Amino acid sequence: MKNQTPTLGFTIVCLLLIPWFEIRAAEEKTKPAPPANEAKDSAEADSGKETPDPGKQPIDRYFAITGSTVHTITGPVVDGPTVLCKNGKIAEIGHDLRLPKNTEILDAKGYHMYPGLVAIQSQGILGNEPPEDNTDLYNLSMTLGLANGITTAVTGNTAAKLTFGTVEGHVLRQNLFHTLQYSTENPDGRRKFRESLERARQYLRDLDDHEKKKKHDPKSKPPTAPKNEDEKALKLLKHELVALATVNTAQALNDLAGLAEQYGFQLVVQGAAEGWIVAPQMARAGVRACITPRTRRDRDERTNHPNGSSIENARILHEHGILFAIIPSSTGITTMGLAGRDLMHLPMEAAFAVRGGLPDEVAVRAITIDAARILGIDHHVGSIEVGKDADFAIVDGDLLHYMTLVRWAIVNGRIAYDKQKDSLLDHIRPDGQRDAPPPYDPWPRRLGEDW
Amino acid sequence: MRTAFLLSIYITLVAMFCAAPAIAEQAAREGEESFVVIQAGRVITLAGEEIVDGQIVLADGKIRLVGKDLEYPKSASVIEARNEVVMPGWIHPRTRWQLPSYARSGVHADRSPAQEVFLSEMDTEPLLEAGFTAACFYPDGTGIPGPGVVYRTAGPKEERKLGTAYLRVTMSQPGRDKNTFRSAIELARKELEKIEKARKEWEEKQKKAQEEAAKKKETDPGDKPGTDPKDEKKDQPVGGKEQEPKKEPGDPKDHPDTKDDTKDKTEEKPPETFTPPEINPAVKPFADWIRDKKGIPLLFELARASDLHHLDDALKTTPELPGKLFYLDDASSSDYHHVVDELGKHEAIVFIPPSIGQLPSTVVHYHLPAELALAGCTVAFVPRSDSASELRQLRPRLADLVRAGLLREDALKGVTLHVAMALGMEDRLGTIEKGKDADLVFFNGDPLAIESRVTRVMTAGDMVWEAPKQP
Repeated sequence: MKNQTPTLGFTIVCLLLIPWFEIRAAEEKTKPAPPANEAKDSAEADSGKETPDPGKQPIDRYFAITGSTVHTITGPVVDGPTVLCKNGKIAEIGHDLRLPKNTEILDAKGYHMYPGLVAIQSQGILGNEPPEDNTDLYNLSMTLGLANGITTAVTGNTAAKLTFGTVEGHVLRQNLFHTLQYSTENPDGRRKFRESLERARQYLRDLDDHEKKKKHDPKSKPPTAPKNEDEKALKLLKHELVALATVNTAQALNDLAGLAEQYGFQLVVQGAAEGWIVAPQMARAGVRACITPRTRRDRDERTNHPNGSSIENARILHEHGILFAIIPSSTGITTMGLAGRDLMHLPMEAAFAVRGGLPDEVAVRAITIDAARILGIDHHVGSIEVGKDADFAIVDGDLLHYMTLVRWAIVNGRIAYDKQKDSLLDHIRPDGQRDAPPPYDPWPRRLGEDW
Repeated sequence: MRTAFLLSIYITLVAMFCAAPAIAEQAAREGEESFVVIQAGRVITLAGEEIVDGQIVLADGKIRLVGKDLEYPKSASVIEARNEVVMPGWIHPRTRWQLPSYARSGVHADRSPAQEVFLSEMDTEPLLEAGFTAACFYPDGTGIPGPGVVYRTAGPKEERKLGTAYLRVTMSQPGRDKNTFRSAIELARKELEKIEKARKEWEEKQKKAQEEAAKKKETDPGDKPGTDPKDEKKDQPVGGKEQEPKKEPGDPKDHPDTKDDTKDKTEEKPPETFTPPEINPAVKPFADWIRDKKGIPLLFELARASDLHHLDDALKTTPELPGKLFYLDDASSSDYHHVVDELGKHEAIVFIPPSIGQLPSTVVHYHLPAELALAGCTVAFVPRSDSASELRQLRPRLADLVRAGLLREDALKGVTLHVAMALGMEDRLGTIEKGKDADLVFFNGDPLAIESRVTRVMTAGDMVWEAPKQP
């Protein structure tokens, strides 16, 4: 009896369990197929069976680039991985990825893939503010920008993407900067700015006092909030705004850096041609810069301290740990623009910084992730990482080489520019070979030899 | 009894004798009901095969029959056109012929150009000479300047106005026009909210009236004079501006039992039917579309391909609005080839100037009309400008398009049937078919041949224009 009891109990339990198992099995049979969005993995595993209902939810858009040398910028250079993008974002990077069935595949073997370049200033590529209403989405300037690898640009105070032919995902960030009118030639303006900052800081102190007083005296009045310029200054102090000032001279840079350090606001200086002279002060204040390596500023022989522009500016700033972006001297874009000194040649401008001693990879960073960081959009663009936007410039060589051309520009996981399908540059080294002979290019173009 | 019977027969007979001449007269009138027969060398019906040596029978300004070797009453008058080609009258889809230009911006869906079109002062000779029997006049300006109005180019005054066609919405400068468009939609939504609010108030009033009536019924079943009528007036709904006094109980559910408290009701005068407050006429078409998903078509005027995307972006919040009718301005130098497929997806009716675009400094051409037709759009042609010479040039330009690959049928329909469809008048104009208006144009050769001319123009069955005899 003692031995039998557990056996009996076990049998009873088993008997009780049988119907439960049957129910489970029946449930599994009747269970509907999992919806596509819920089971991404299963959709990827056997996507042939499931066709998501277009009425209920949008179909996921997959795009993969295979075989290229991927310059991730924030990570290593990887040879030949597949970059899988889902709905305009980078979903996976790696070798031997299993691709969903309806993935659009771009074979880029032999090409180099960089993140799309960021032009920290531009004119004519995007429409006036607000760009989502004003941009001409088939503008030739936009195609030119894409043909030079630029996928993000700035118009006015807004950063937007070069979404060729669609307004979807156009605007990235608004209210980028608060522009300061700060110049050594305008002592009154400088005084006013200083006073605004002082009043704003005083307000913050008063507010702090008020908070403390309130505990003892509930009737204490809060200080009056600052208005107009003081309000802007307050936002600067609270890091709700980033200051932008166009300054080139060492003295002005020194002044502003001092202010930024004293009041603790974020500052981006545009130009900074003499930044190499005051780099330590700028570094200490955490000033960021937007420089033009090929800028020309003649030395003034009457002064006995160092001045004028230097080809080494970028290197010196970098060595002091200052974050900077690179932009050409002209921010327009045309096929004949300023002898190669406009946005048609953004990588060339960066290459000139390399000529002055800047490391290659920092020069590339200055037109990708560092520019994005200064604009506050580095969580979206500027490097090739999972989760970021699928914006790429796929080029036929080293990005900073003077012969390198963009083969494809990808924006939000869509091919926005294809060199061989556009009539701009399709006749130059069509298969990407550097040693191909120069093209026969009669003028007017394409009217043929016998015209 | 007998006399009565005889009398009745007599009366019947008399009545019959009296009626007989009238019946006969009517029959005679029917026989000679002004039938007109056009003996045409060729009839381009645009509703099937072209008919060689065909006849068009007209009656009462309408087309009665079209065909070959038709039988018609001998009394019919015959228009001899055996050397001529007859086709449906051409329709100008978008013109400001001889109207002054002015600047207007903002939302004005109610400002029709009818106030500025003075037909008696207008010289429509060049329009007629080019074969146009009708034209849609549009109000000038940007934003939403107003609807287009269709007039015949000739004929008696009372027959000239054909109706309202479309509402212009410019999208040529999206930065400006998107805002206007959005504000129009917002205003329309506000108007609809206003109506909804008024309806709710009215319903509440109804409920209250019912309850009060029920209460009264319970408390004092006897007839008692109602409360002071002045107080009742205050109770009337705010929205019911033009509320009518009680006529009939519209919906029996909404009303209290009528039999017992008729007196109370007449005293209280609750509005029986809900009369919504009037919609601001400047945004009425938008409100119509949002509420009923139908209304006057919107003509979106674009200046470049990009504008279509901006329009789609603006339409995203209001999918009820129709994105079907487009005017592509400046098609020869613009970049519409980028959006041909998208327009095809819209199944759009596209107004377009008859021209072939070119990529500058290259031999790359864009035959936009043909591409659009292939993509599934309905193409209608607008002369490039409102000048007499451009009207004369229209036919050679169409011939050029056909030579470069546009179907001949599409070219001819592009100035007749397709325009009629765009203007919502395809049941009256556009083809030579039974029941349609007799708006016809006569050519002395093929309409697309360079040497042929318009010889005669007919509107509503009347010959209204004839080419001057050449010496």
